[in-house]
Amino acid sequence: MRNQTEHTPSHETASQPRTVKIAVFGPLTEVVGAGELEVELTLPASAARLDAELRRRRPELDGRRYQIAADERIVRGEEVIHADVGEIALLPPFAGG
Amino acid sequence: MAQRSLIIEPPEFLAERPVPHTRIGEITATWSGDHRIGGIVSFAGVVRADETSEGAVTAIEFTAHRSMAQRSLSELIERCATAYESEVLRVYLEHALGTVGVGKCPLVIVVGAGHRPEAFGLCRDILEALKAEVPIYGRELTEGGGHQWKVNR
Repeated sequence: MRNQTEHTPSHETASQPRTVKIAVFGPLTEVVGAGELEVELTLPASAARLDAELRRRRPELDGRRYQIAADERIVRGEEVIHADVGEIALLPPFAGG
Repeated sequence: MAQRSLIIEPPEFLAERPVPHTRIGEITATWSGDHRIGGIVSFAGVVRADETSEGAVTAIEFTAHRSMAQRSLSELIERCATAYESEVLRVYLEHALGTVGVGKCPLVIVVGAGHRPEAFGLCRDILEALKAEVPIYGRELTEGGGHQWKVNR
């Protein structure tokens, strides 16, 4: 099965770029001008790759600090965001308390 | 050691109003029936009238990734509690959303435990973890009609 999936990419590896809605919070709502942004992205992707792609496509994010959450879990570096993710969110530095 | 009991309240940590100043008294009174508790420590966050280039801060408008904040608070309280051995640990935590004026409370944490080290320790640990880990945001509104985004340090 392994060899077969390498030659015939699975649903995940064969994904084409698609429009993904990304929720934004706090100061990023002012930067984006809304509570979410729509970006053409290919999933699955690592957090690092998704971040690089986001910043390339949305220059207003340049210099902005945020963490990426996939389904309410922070994902970093090479951690993968799967194609069936329910929600991707950009979380700027926190200010509770 | 007796069975360890961790009681966390209320079911929803976030509410669309400042936390009443009287909340700490109410919780302390409610817990008076739990005779395993020997110490109660509380923390109330209060909005300060910080001076900014656009005048003094008059209020902070809090928003959050609400479902993630709820889950994150629940998980961090349980995690922080594992560091303390006490027959009973009771935690009450309430964080405001919406506008909270100067002098009002956006946050109250009350911790009850068998003895003071666990009560002080757990209250502080929860507070520090909340500031570092929970997706809550604060827009400081100023006298001049402007605003700036609060960031925890």
